[in-house]
Formats: sequence, C-alpha cells, structure tokens
Amino acid sequence: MLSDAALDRLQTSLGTPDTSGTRYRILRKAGEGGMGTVWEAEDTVLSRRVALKVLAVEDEGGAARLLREARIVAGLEHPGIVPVHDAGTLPDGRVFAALKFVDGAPLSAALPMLGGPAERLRVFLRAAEAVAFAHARGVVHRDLKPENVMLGAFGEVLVVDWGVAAVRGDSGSRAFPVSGSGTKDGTVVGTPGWMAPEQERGEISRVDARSDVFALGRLLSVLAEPRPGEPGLDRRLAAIVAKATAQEPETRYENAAALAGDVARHLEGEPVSAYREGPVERLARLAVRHRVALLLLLAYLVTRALVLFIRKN
Amino acid sequence: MALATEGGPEERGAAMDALARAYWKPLYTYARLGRRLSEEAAEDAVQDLFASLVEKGWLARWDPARARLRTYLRVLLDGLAANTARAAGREKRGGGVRTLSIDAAETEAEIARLAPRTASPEEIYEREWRRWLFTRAVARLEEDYTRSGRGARFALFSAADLADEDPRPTYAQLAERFSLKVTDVTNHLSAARRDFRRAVLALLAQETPRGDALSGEARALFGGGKS
Repeated sequence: MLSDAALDRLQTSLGTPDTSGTRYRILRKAGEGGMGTVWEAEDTVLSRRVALKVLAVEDEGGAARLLREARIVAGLEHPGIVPVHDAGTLPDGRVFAALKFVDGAPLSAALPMLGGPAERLRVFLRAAEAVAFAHARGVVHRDLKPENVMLGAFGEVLVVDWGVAAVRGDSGSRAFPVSGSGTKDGTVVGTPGWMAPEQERGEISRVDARSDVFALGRLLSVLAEPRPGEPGLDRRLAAIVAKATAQEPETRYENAAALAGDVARHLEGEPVSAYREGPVERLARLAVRHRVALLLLLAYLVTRALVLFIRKN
Repeated sequence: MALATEGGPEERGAAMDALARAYWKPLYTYARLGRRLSEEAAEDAVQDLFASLVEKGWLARWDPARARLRTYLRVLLDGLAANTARAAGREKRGGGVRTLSIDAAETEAEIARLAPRTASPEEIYEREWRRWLFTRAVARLEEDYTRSGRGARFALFSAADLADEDPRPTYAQLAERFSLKVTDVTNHLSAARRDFRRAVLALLAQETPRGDALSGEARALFGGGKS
C-alpha cells in the first residue's frame, strides 16, 4: 500500500500537466475553472509568462470546447480581449490553450479598490467596448460577470473566459472559424444571477447580443451603485440599467455598442436614449455639462455690469 | 462498469466482484479509522454491506443524480455501523458466513503503518479510496513494465515517486544510481508518470458505474496539483 507521502506525490504529479518536450514550463497554479486548471507558465522559447489553460482530463467534449474557445478568441483581436498564443495537446494527452498572462485581479476582487463613479463607469465602458467588438463579429459571450472581467496592473480591462461563447451566423459578420452555440435548446448556459431570463429558461436559440446586454446591465448596476458619501444614483443612469436589464430582449439595447454609447453619452453630459428628460432637467444637465463656459460667461457679465456701473457713477 | 443489478447471473456475479474489488478496502479502512469500529465490527459491516447490495436491493436503489456510488456505499456503511441488529442479520445469511474475501490482517498491518488521522471521516474515506485506486494502478504499471522488459523504468519511477526517501533524491542522484544521463531520467520519469496516469484513468473507466460521470471523477482527481 502507498504511504501518505507517496500518495500526495502521485496526486500532485497527476494534477500537474506534463509539459516535457514542449516550450512551456509550469510555474504555479493560477486558478481552477469548470473544465480544468489555469497555470502560470513560462514560454521558454520567447521567455515570457503565459496562462496555460489545461483540461483536467482528455475527454473529447472538453477538448472540443477548449479548442472552440481558443479559435473564437483568436478571431477577436481587441485590446480588451485576452489574446490566445497557442493551442494543442500536451504529451499526456490533455488539450491546452496558451493565453496572454494577465497580471491583475478579477473585477469581483478589484471593485473595492476602484475610485469614484466616473472611474468605475470608465472601467465598465472598456469592458462593454470589448463585448461590443465581439458582438460586431457575431460572437455572444454568454457568461459575463465580475469574475470574467480582469483588471490588469496597468489599468487594462480585459474580458476573459469565452468558453461558452456562441457565434451567431445571422449577424452579418465576416466568416468566423467556428459557428453555432455548441449547445442545444434546453441547456442552461451561464451563471445564475447574471444570466438573462431567456438564458435561465434554456432558450438557446433566443440567446443573442441582448442577453450579454442584460449581464452588462447587471455589471453596470454593481459598478454604478453609490458608495457611502457619493450622491444617489443618477436618474439617467438608472434608466440605462433598467433598459439593459429589461425582462424582454426586445426592450433592451440591441447590443453592447448601443449600451456603451448611452453610458458614454451620460459621462459626457449628453442626452441618453433610455431617458426622456423634461425641460428643467435638460437645462440642469446643460448647466452641468457647460459649467465652465457658463462660469466664464457669468464672470464676463458681472465684469461688464461692474464697468457700466462704475462709468455711470 | 455494469452494475451488479444488470444482465444474467454470471454478469451480475462478475460486476459484484469488480465492485467489491474496487471498494472493500477503502470501506474497511474507513470503518476502522473514520468510524473507529473494531476489526471484527468493521469486517462485519463491510461483509453485510456487500451482501445487502443485492439481497436487499440496495444497489438497485442507488440514484446517480443524488450521489456518486462511492458516497452512496459510505452512507450505507454508516447505517450498518450504527445498526446494533447487524449480528442477527448475519445469522440470517447463514450463521455468519463471509461472502467476501477480505484480507483484514494485511490491511490491519497497513493501517498500523499510517500516521494518526486527524481529518474528518469523509476525508479519510476519500483519501483511502484514492490510495487504493493508485495502489492498484501502480501494480498494473509494474506488471505491464515487467512484462514488456521495462522493469528498470519502473524501478526509477518507484525510487522517484513511491519510495519514502528523505530528502527526496534529485534527478542527478537518480541518474548516478541508475547509470543514466539526467535527460534520460527526465524522459523515463515523464513517460512513467504518463503511463501511471493512463493506468488510473483505465481503472476509473472500468470501475465508474454507468450513471456516475467518469469525467467528474477524473476531474476530481486530475483537477489540479498543489500550487
């Protein structure tokens, strides 16, 4: 019978991918996912760190999903999407994908470290822009949540884990290396609490860019939630969140670009599509937006009035 | 693995043998270390369990959606361990006739060599199941290597991963000991570990009953090493 120490050694050896004869050298475990483990590794040829996503076992379904994810990510070259460098099979038969190593933390952990409302909205915009790029290519992420948005050490915002992404053929996007959702109707894909209602019901054929919009809306509500000492949630922003997280897909923004556009307009003090403002609100918004010009104008008028007053007296 | 509730008598008998081979030892060790039963009570509980799986239709009642077979067997053993009428049940089976071949003496000697357990009973059971699975995979690997004239590779694997040498031998020391180049040690160990992994997967595939997700079992084992 094996000793305790031998048992532990064998367990470690089983759990660690066999990279012998490859360009990769395992450094440490970086995290665990549903399909396998992410390892921080060294690409010994290029002397750089990579994230090696390795399947736990060499089952055909998992291998196909990982390769599918790698191909999808390879087709999404965008600064907000972690690039894939390589994919293949290790000597032990396990399928892997080598991705850029992001030195940072998921938004779920980094959120308390973020600054005021404007900074948090800008982080949201960066993530939404990456998703908008994917939507433009016909790709729906289907599992957007704070854990899948990484904040890099140098301010990068990256959308990760495209493992359950679907490619929609009717989007008018250019040819993509993979197609379809990889799942059948009735399958629930996503994370409870972040899924759109149609995803929760397993209506795979109804899941499209607007389902990502729902998850982004949830993300926006988390990021926009006022902290102690901050003013209450702006009505325009609340309307944007409400539109993004509407129960019916038809009522939501068409895609992430439309949602990001409204958030950007809100940040710029411009009218947003989700909120019809009254004349007083419009004046107040314009006053805030053009406060510098208004102050200058006011200063000019006061000065002119003073000059006139002095001349008359 | 087919369940011992399916097919003809011969098939059912073979399936029950396979089930017993895969689980008697972890269950016995769990009964001794996790449930702290005496040697006799532990053996009785394990014997009763395997007899009741078919006689009382317990195996047919296993629902893969609710628990892995391994967990189901442990829960059944818990019930038997707490059942004071177990002796009466044994009499009904034919006056204490043992249906299962359990080498309790050898297992007792192995248990005596283990360090005192501080983990929960469930953790002890999982660990003992894993130990028994790996032990048999190592035995398969040794048999396979010996048969194919690769005994030296097994000896190297044994020295590197199985023997409790403190401090652990370096690859350079192993190279000197086995008159090999360090690169050859690396290659041989890599191949042996890969073959060990295949042996574990093959045993899992044989012994994971239909209904239990093999990939789930394998993921639990291969999900990741220590960081």
